[in-house]
Amino acid sequence: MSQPDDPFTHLPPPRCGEPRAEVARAIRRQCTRDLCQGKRLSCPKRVLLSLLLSFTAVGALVALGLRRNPAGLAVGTVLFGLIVWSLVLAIVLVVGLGRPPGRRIARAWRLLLAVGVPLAFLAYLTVESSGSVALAEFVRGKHADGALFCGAHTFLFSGLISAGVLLLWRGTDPLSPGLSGALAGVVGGLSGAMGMGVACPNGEAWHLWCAHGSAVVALSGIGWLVGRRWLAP
Amino acid sequence: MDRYVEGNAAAFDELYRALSPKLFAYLLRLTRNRERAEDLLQITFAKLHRARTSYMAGAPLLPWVLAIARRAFYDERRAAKSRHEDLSNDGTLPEPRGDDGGIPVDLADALDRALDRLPEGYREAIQLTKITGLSLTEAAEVLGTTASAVKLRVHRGYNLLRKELDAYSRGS
Repeated sequence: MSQPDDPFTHLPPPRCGEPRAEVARAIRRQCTRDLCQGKRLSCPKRVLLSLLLSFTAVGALVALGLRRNPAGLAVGTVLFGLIVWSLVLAIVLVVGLGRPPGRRIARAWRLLLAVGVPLAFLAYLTVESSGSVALAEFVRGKHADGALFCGAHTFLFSGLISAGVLLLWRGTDPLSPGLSGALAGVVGGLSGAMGMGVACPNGEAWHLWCAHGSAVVALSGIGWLVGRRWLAP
Repeated sequence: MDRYVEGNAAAFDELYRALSPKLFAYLLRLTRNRERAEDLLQITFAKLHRARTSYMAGAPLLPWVLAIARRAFYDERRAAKSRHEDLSNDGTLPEPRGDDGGIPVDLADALDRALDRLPEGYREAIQLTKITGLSLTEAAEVLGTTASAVKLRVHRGYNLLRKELDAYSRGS
Protein backbone atom coordinates (compact mmCIF):
# COMPACT_ATOMS: atom_id res chain seq x y z
CA MET A 1 0.00 0.00 0.00
CA SER A 2 2.98 2.29 -0.20
CA GLN A 3 1.90 5.05 -2.54
CA PRO A 4 3.94 8.13 -3.42
CA ASP A 5 1.34 10.36 -1.75
CA ASP A 6 0.94 8.09 1.26
CA PRO A 7 0.32 10.34 4.29
CA PHE A 8 1.84 7.71 6.57
CA THR A 9 5.22 7.72 4.86
CA HIS A 10 6.80 10.47 6.95
CA LEU A 11 4.61 10.12 10.00
CA PRO A 12 5.03 8.18 13.22
CA PRO A 13 2.61 5.25 13.65
CA PRO A 14 -0.60 6.22 15.45
CA ARG A 15 -0.52 5.55 19.18
CA CYS A 16 -2.69 2.74 20.48
CA GLY A 17 -1.22 1.47 23.71
CA GLU A 18 -1.78 -1.95 25.19
CA PRO A 19 -4.55 -3.56 27.20
CA ARG A 20 -4.12 -3.31 30.96
CA ALA A 21 -2.16 -6.05 32.73
CA GLU A 22 -5.22 -7.29 34.64
CA VAL A 23 -7.11 -7.67 31.34
CA ALA A 24 -4.21 -9.68 29.92
CA ARG A 25 -4.19 -11.85 33.06
CA ALA A 26 -7.95 -12.43 32.86
CA ILE A 27 -7.66 -13.42 29.20
CA ARG A 28 -4.83 -15.80 29.96
CA ARG A 29 -6.78 -17.39 32.82
CA GLN A 30 -9.82 -17.79 30.58
CA CYS A 31 -7.95 -19.19 27.61
CA THR A 32 -5.68 -21.64 29.38
CA ARG A 33 -8.47 -23.20 31.45
CA ASP A 34 -9.56 -26.72 30.41
CA LEU A 35 -6.78 -26.90 27.87
CA CYS A 36 -6.55 -30.38 26.50
CA GLN A 37 -5.63 -31.79 23.15
CA GLY A 38 -8.49 -30.84 20.83
CA LYS A 39 -9.54 -33.02 17.93
CA ARG A 40 -9.33 -31.17 14.66
CA LEU A 41 -10.75 -32.06 11.28
CA SER A 42 -8.75 -30.79 8.34
CA CYS A 43 -10.39 -29.18 5.34
CA PRO A 44 -10.03 -32.22 3.02
CA LYS A 45 -11.49 -34.48 5.74
CA ARG A 46 -14.50 -32.19 6.13
CA VAL A 47 -14.99 -32.17 2.34
CA LEU A 48 -14.78 -35.98 2.24
CA LEU A 49 -17.25 -36.34 5.11
CA SER A 50 -19.64 -33.87 3.43
CA LEU A 51 -19.39 -35.83 0.18
CA LEU A 52 -19.95 -39.09 2.03
CA LEU A 53 -23.02 -37.68 3.79
CA SER A 54 -24.50 -36.30 0.57
CA PHE A 55 -23.84 -39.36 -1.56
CA THR A 56 -25.10 -41.73 1.15
CA ALA A 57 -28.33 -39.73 1.35
CA VAL A 58 -28.68 -39.63 -2.44
CA GLY A 59 -27.93 -43.36 -2.63
CA ALA A 60 -30.56 -44.14 0.01
CA LEU A 61 -33.16 -42.00 -1.77
CA VAL A 62 -32.32 -43.54 -5.15
CA ALA A 63 -32.58 -47.07 -3.72
CA LEU A 64 -35.91 -46.16 -2.15
CA GLY A 65 -37.13 -44.60 -5.39
CA LEU A 66 -36.11 -47.55 -7.53
CA ARG A 67 -37.88 -49.97 -5.17
CA ARG A 68 -41.06 -47.92 -5.13
CA ASN A 69 -41.28 -47.22 -8.81
CA PRO A 70 -38.85 -49.23 -10.90
CA ALA A 71 -41.01 -49.34 -14.02
CA GLY A 72 -41.74 -45.62 -14.34
CA LEU A 73 -38.11 -44.55 -14.76
CA ALA A 74 -35.99 -44.05 -17.83
CA VAL A 75 -32.94 -45.43 -16.05
CA GLY A 76 -30.38 -44.17 -18.59
CA THR A 77 -31.57 -40.55 -18.34
CA VAL A 78 -31.82 -40.73 -14.58
CA LEU A 79 -28.32 -42.15 -14.23
CA PHE A 80 -26.87 -39.51 -16.57
CA GLY A 81 -28.54 -36.74 -14.53
CA LEU A 82 -27.32 -38.29 -11.28
CA ILE A 83 -23.72 -38.53 -12.48
CA VAL A 84 -23.64 -34.97 -13.84
CA TRP A 85 -25.19 -33.41 -10.74
CA SER A 86 -23.09 -35.55 -8.40
CA LEU A 87 -20.06 -34.09 -10.16
CA VAL A 88 -21.45 -30.57 -9.78
CA LEU A 89 -22.06 -31.26 -6.09
CA ALA A 90 -18.48 -32.45 -5.65
CA ILE A 91 -17.19 -29.36 -7.49
CA VAL A 92 -19.24 -27.06 -5.22
CA LEU A 93 -17.71 -28.71 -2.15
CA VAL A 94 -14.13 -28.92 -3.40
CA VAL A 95 -13.95 -25.50 -5.07
CA GLY A 96 -16.21 -23.61 -2.65
CA LEU A 97 -15.12 -25.07 0.68
CA GLY A 98 -12.09 -27.24 -0.09
CA ARG A 99 -9.44 -24.87 1.27
CA PRO A 100 -9.16 -23.11 4.64
CA PRO A 101 -10.91 -19.72 4.97
CA GLY A 102 -8.66 -16.97 3.67
CA ARG A 103 -7.11 -19.33 1.10
CA ARG A 104 -10.29 -20.03 -0.85
CA ILE A 105 -11.03 -18.84 -4.37
CA ALA A 106 -12.28 -15.29 -4.82
CA ARG A 107 -15.56 -14.34 -3.18
CA ALA A 108 -17.10 -13.53 -6.59
CA TRP A 109 -16.50 -17.07 -7.86
CA ARG A 110 -17.97 -18.61 -4.74
CA LEU A 111 -20.97 -16.30 -5.04
CA LEU A 112 -21.33 -17.40 -8.65
CA LEU A 113 -21.39 -21.04 -7.47
CA ALA A 114 -23.99 -20.31 -4.76
CA VAL A 115 -26.29 -18.49 -7.20
CA GLY A 116 -25.42 -20.14 -10.51
CA VAL A 117 -25.74 -23.80 -9.50
CA PRO A 118 -29.38 -23.52 -8.28
CA LEU A 119 -30.27 -21.57 -11.44
CA ALA A 120 -28.50 -24.15 -13.63
CA PHE A 121 -30.41 -26.89 -11.84
CA LEU A 122 -33.72 -25.13 -12.58
CA ALA A 123 -32.66 -24.85 -16.24
CA TYR A 124 -31.79 -28.57 -16.27
CA LEU A 125 -35.24 -29.43 -14.87
CA THR A 126 -36.83 -27.32 -17.61
CA VAL A 127 -34.94 -29.25 -20.28
CA GLU A 128 -35.69 -32.60 -18.62
CA SER A 129 -39.43 -31.97 -18.17
CA SER A 130 -41.76 -34.04 -20.29
CA GLY A 131 -44.29 -31.23 -20.78
CA SER A 132 -46.20 -28.67 -18.80
CA VAL A 133 -49.78 -27.87 -17.90
CA ALA A 134 -51.19 -24.34 -17.61
CA LEU A 135 -50.31 -22.68 -14.30
CA ALA A 136 -54.02 -22.23 -13.46
CA GLU A 137 -54.51 -25.96 -13.89
CA PHE A 138 -51.38 -26.80 -11.90
CA VAL A 139 -52.36 -24.85 -8.79
CA ARG A 140 -55.70 -26.68 -8.56
CA GLY A 141 -56.52 -30.28 -7.78
CA LYS A 142 -54.23 -33.29 -7.92
CA HIS A 143 -51.28 -31.47 -9.50
CA ALA A 144 -50.98 -29.16 -6.51
CA ASP A 145 -51.51 -31.97 -4.02
CA GLY A 146 -48.81 -34.04 -5.68
CA ALA A 147 -46.38 -31.13 -5.77
CA LEU A 148 -47.07 -30.32 -2.13
CA PHE A 149 -46.44 -33.90 -1.04
CA CYS A 150 -43.32 -34.24 -3.17
CA GLY A 151 -42.04 -30.75 -2.24
CA ALA A 152 -42.46 -31.43 1.47
CA HIS A 153 -40.34 -34.59 1.14
CA THR A 154 -37.69 -32.83 -0.95
CA PHE A 155 -37.46 -30.00 1.60
CA LEU A 156 -37.30 -32.47 4.48
CA PHE A 157 -34.48 -34.55 2.99
CA SER A 158 -32.60 -31.54 1.62
CA GLY A 159 -32.93 -29.74 4.93
CA LEU A 160 -31.58 -32.71 6.86
CA ILE A 161 -28.58 -33.12 4.54
CA SER A 162 -27.87 -29.35 4.61
CA ALA A 163 -28.04 -29.37 8.41
CA GLY A 164 -25.56 -32.25 8.47
CA VAL A 165 -23.15 -30.45 6.14
CA LEU A 166 -23.50 -27.20 8.12
CA LEU A 167 -22.74 -29.07 11.34
CA LEU A 168 -19.62 -30.55 9.77
CA TRP A 169 -18.36 -27.04 9.00
CA ARG A 170 -19.60 -25.44 12.22
CA GLY A 171 -17.46 -22.59 13.57
CA THR A 172 -14.89 -22.85 10.81
CA ASP A 173 -15.36 -19.65 8.83
CA PRO A 174 -15.36 -16.19 10.41
CA LEU A 175 -14.49 -14.59 7.07
CA SER A 176 -17.49 -15.46 4.89
CA PRO A 177 -19.87 -17.63 6.95
CA GLY A 178 -22.95 -16.62 4.94
CA LEU A 179 -21.43 -17.62 1.63
CA SER A 180 -20.08 -20.91 3.00
CA GLY A 181 -23.52 -21.60 4.49
CA ALA A 182 -25.15 -20.93 1.12
CA LEU A 183 -22.79 -23.44 -0.51
CA ALA A 184 -23.62 -26.02 2.18
CA GLY A 185 -27.30 -25.32 1.45
CA VAL A 186 -26.73 -25.87 -2.27
CA VAL A 187 -25.05 -29.22 -1.52
CA GLY A 188 -27.95 -30.34 0.69
CA GLY A 189 -30.57 -29.02 -1.72
CA LEU A 190 -28.97 -30.74 -4.71
CA SER A 191 -28.67 -34.04 -2.83
CA GLY A 192 -32.34 -34.01 -1.79
CA ALA A 193 -33.57 -32.90 -5.22
CA MET A 194 -31.46 -35.54 -7.01
CA GLY A 195 -32.75 -38.29 -4.75
CA MET A 196 -36.37 -37.18 -5.11
CA GLY A 197 -35.88 -36.87 -8.86
CA VAL A 198 -35.45 -40.65 -8.94
CA ALA A 199 -38.19 -41.40 -6.42
CA CYS A 200 -40.79 -39.20 -8.14
CA PRO A 201 -41.91 -40.22 -11.65
CA ASN A 202 -43.70 -36.92 -12.39
CA GLY A 203 -41.99 -35.06 -15.26
CA GLU A 204 -44.33 -32.08 -15.49
CA ALA A 205 -42.41 -28.79 -15.62
CA TRP A 206 -44.24 -26.87 -12.85
CA HIS A 207 -43.99 -29.91 -10.60
CA LEU A 208 -40.26 -30.19 -11.19
CA TRP A 209 -39.67 -26.48 -10.52
CA CYS A 210 -41.88 -26.17 -7.44
CA ALA A 211 -41.42 -29.58 -5.82
CA HIS A 212 -37.81 -30.38 -6.74
CA GLY A 213 -35.88 -27.28 -7.92
CA SER A 214 -37.26 -24.80 -5.40
CA ALA A 215 -35.57 -26.73 -2.56
CA VAL A 216 -32.12 -26.02 -4.03
CA VAL A 217 -32.87 -22.30 -4.39
CA ALA A 218 -34.52 -22.02 -0.97
CA LEU A 219 -31.82 -23.97 0.86
CA SER A 220 -29.14 -21.82 -0.70
CA GLY A 221 -30.85 -18.79 0.90
CA ILE A 222 -31.57 -20.55 4.19
CA GLY A 223 -27.98 -21.82 4.26
CA TRP A 224 -26.80 -18.20 3.90
CA LEU A 225 -28.83 -17.14 6.93
CA VAL A 226 -28.04 -20.17 9.09
CA GLY A 227 -24.39 -20.14 8.05
CA ARG A 228 -23.95 -16.61 9.39
CA ARG A 229 -24.72 -17.96 12.87
CA TRP A 230 -23.42 -21.53 12.71
CA LEU A 231 -20.28 -21.20 10.65
CA ALA A 232 -18.87 -18.10 12.35
CA PRO A 233 -16.90 -18.92 15.54
CA MET B 1 -1.86 -21.92 17.01
CA ASP B 2 -1.27 -25.61 16.32
CA ARG B 3 0.54 -26.06 19.65
CA TYR B 4 -2.21 -24.14 21.46
CA VAL B 5 -4.85 -26.45 19.96
CA GLU B 6 -2.76 -29.39 21.16
CA GLY B 7 -3.17 -28.07 24.71
CA ASN B 8 0.10 -26.18 25.23
CA ALA B 9 -0.53 -23.26 27.62
CA ALA B 10 2.85 -21.66 26.86
CA ALA B 11 1.86 -21.52 23.22
CA PHE B 12 -1.09 -19.35 24.23
CA ASP B 13 1.28 -16.77 25.73
CA GLU B 14 3.16 -16.56 22.44
CA LEU B 15 -0.10 -16.31 20.56
CA TYR B 16 -1.31 -13.55 22.87
CA ARG B 17 1.92 -11.58 22.51
CA ALA B 18 1.71 -11.86 18.71
CA LEU B 19 -1.96 -11.06 18.30
CA SER B 20 -3.04 -8.76 21.12
CA PRO B 21 -1.27 -5.50 20.07
CA LYS B 22 -2.78 -5.58 16.58
CA LEU B 23 -6.15 -6.78 17.80
CA PHE B 24 -6.31 -4.17 20.54
CA ALA B 25 -5.29 -1.36 18.18
CA TYR B 26 -7.98 -2.46 15.72
CA LEU B 27 -10.66 -2.67 18.42
CA LEU B 28 -9.60 0.63 19.93
CA ARG B 29 -9.96 2.28 16.54
CA LEU B 30 -13.38 0.69 16.04
CA THR B 31 -14.76 1.52 19.47
CA ARG B 32 -12.78 4.68 20.28
CA ASN B 33 -13.15 3.60 23.89
CA ARG B 34 -10.42 1.85 25.85
CA GLU B 35 -12.67 -0.11 28.20
CA ARG B 36 -14.93 -1.35 25.43
CA ALA B 37 -11.88 -2.32 23.39
CA GLU B 38 -10.56 -4.32 26.37
CA ASP B 39 -13.95 -6.01 26.84
CA LEU B 40 -14.07 -6.90 23.16
CA LEU B 41 -10.49 -8.17 23.27
CA GLN B 42 -11.51 -10.50 26.07
CA ILE B 43 -14.61 -11.64 24.14
CA THR B 44 -12.52 -12.22 21.02
CA PHE B 45 -9.98 -14.38 22.86
CA ALA B 46 -12.82 -16.29 24.57
CA LYS B 47 -14.29 -17.03 21.14
CA LEU B 48 -10.87 -17.99 19.83
CA HIS B 49 -10.49 -20.39 22.76
CA ARG B 50 -13.90 -21.98 22.15
CA ALA B 51 -13.34 -22.24 18.38
CA ARG B 52 -9.70 -23.36 18.51
CA THR B 53 -10.49 -26.86 17.24
CA SER B 54 -12.40 -25.37 14.29
CA TYR B 55 -9.34 -23.44 13.15
CA MET B 56 -8.06 -25.08 10.01
CA ALA B 57 -4.34 -25.47 9.60
CA GLY B 58 -3.12 -23.23 6.80
CA ALA B 59 -5.74 -20.51 7.30
CA PRO B 60 -4.12 -17.08 7.83
CA LEU B 61 -4.46 -16.53 11.59
CA LEU B 62 -4.53 -12.74 11.87
CA PRO B 63 -7.41 -12.18 9.39
CA TRP B 64 -9.21 -15.12 11.04
CA VAL B 65 -8.98 -13.50 14.49
CA LEU B 66 -9.65 -9.96 13.23
CA ALA B 67 -12.86 -11.20 11.59
CA ILE B 68 -13.94 -12.69 14.95
CA ALA B 69 -13.15 -9.38 16.67
CA ARG B 70 -15.05 -7.39 14.06
CA ARG B 71 -18.09 -9.64 14.43
CA ALA B 72 -17.92 -9.30 18.22
CA PHE B 73 -17.87 -5.51 17.84
CA TYR B 74 -20.91 -5.44 15.52
CA ASP B 75 -22.82 -7.95 17.69
CA GLU B 76 -22.19 -5.79 20.73
CA ARG B 77 -23.26 -2.65 18.88
CA ARG B 78 -26.45 -4.35 17.68
CA ALA B 79 -27.19 -5.52 21.22
CA ALA B 80 -26.63 -1.99 22.54
CA LYS B 81 -29.04 -0.62 19.94
CA SER B 82 -31.70 -3.18 20.83
CA ARG B 83 -31.29 -2.22 24.51
CA HIS B 84 -32.04 1.35 23.36
CA GLU B 85 -28.87 2.70 24.87
CA ASP B 86 -28.01 6.21 23.78
CA LEU B 87 -25.77 5.95 20.77
CA SER B 88 -24.04 8.59 18.75
CA ASN B 89 -24.87 9.01 15.05
CA ASP B 90 -22.37 6.35 13.98
CA GLY B 91 -23.96 3.83 16.35
CA THR B 92 -21.22 3.77 18.95
CA LEU B 93 -21.72 4.32 22.65
CA PRO B 94 -21.11 7.91 23.69
CA GLU B 95 -17.57 8.32 24.87
CA PRO B 96 -16.33 11.61 26.22
CA ARG B 97 -12.89 12.13 24.74
CA GLY B 98 -10.53 14.08 26.88
CA ASP B 99 -8.85 15.59 23.86
CA ASP B 100 -12.02 16.66 22.03
CA GLY B 101 -11.73 20.15 20.70
CA GLY B 102 -8.17 20.55 21.94
CA ILE B 103 -5.13 21.29 19.83
CA PRO B 104 -3.08 18.26 18.75
CA VAL B 105 0.18 18.17 20.68
CA ASP B 106 2.22 16.66 17.83
CA LEU B 107 1.96 15.10 14.41
CA ALA B 108 1.17 11.64 15.79
CA ASP B 109 -1.66 13.09 17.83
CA ALA B 110 -2.94 14.99 14.78
CA LEU B 111 -2.88 11.78 12.76
CA ASP B 112 -4.67 9.92 15.53
CA ARG B 113 -7.42 12.52 15.63
CA ALA B 114 -7.67 12.70 11.85
CA LEU B 115 -8.06 8.91 11.70
CA ASP B 116 -10.82 9.05 14.32
CA ARG B 117 -12.69 11.64 12.25
CA LEU B 118 -12.68 9.49 9.10
CA PRO B 119 -15.89 7.71 8.06
CA GLU B 120 -16.00 4.21 9.54
CA GLY B 121 -15.45 2.36 6.25
CA TYR B 122 -12.35 4.37 5.32
CA ARG B 123 -10.97 4.21 8.86
CA GLU B 124 -11.31 0.44 9.02
CA ALA B 125 -9.73 -0.06 5.59
CA ILE B 126 -6.74 2.13 6.50
CA GLN B 127 -6.41 0.53 9.94
CA LEU B 128 -6.32 -3.00 8.50
CA THR B 129 -4.01 -2.34 5.57
CA LYS B 130 -1.68 0.37 6.79
CA ILE B 131 -1.53 -0.10 10.55
CA THR B 132 -2.34 -3.78 11.08
CA GLY B 133 -0.39 -4.73 7.98
CA LEU B 134 -2.85 -6.96 6.14
CA SER B 135 -2.71 -7.28 2.37
CA LEU B 136 -5.60 -5.84 0.35
CA THR B 137 -6.98 -9.35 -0.20
CA GLU B 138 -6.79 -10.23 3.50
CA ALA B 139 -8.41 -6.92 4.48
CA ALA B 140 -11.16 -7.56 1.92
CA GLU B 141 -11.80 -10.98 3.50
CA VAL B 142 -12.09 -9.44 6.96
CA LEU B 143 -14.37 -6.65 5.73
CA GLY B 144 -16.47 -8.98 3.56
CA THR B 145 -15.83 -7.09 0.36
CA THR B 146 -13.52 -7.09 -2.65
CA ALA B 147 -9.87 -6.04 -2.76
CA SER B 148 -10.67 -3.25 -5.22
CA ALA B 149 -13.32 -1.87 -2.85
CA VAL B 150 -10.76 -1.82 -0.03
CA LYS B 151 -8.26 -0.09 -2.30
CA LEU B 152 -10.84 2.57 -3.13
CA ARG B 153 -11.70 3.12 0.54
CA VAL B 154 -8.02 3.45 1.43
CA HIS B 155 -7.48 5.92 -1.40
CA ARG B 156 -10.45 8.07 -0.37
CA GLY B 157 -9.46 7.83 3.27
CA TYR B 158 -5.95 9.00 2.37
CA ASN B 159 -7.36 12.02 0.53
CA LEU B 160 -9.34 13.02 3.62
CA LEU B 161 -6.36 12.37 5.92
CA ARG B 162 -4.11 14.48 3.70
CA LYS B 163 -6.51 17.43 3.90
CA GLU B 164 -6.72 17.14 7.69
CA LEU B 165 -2.94 16.91 8.09
CA ASP B 166 -2.35 19.81 5.67
CA ALA B 167 -4.65 21.91 7.81
CA TYR B 168 -2.67 20.89 10.91
CA SER B 169 0.66 21.71 9.22
CA ARG B 170 -0.57 25.16 8.19
CA GLY B 171 -1.95 25.78 11.69
CA SER B 172 1.29 24.85 13.42
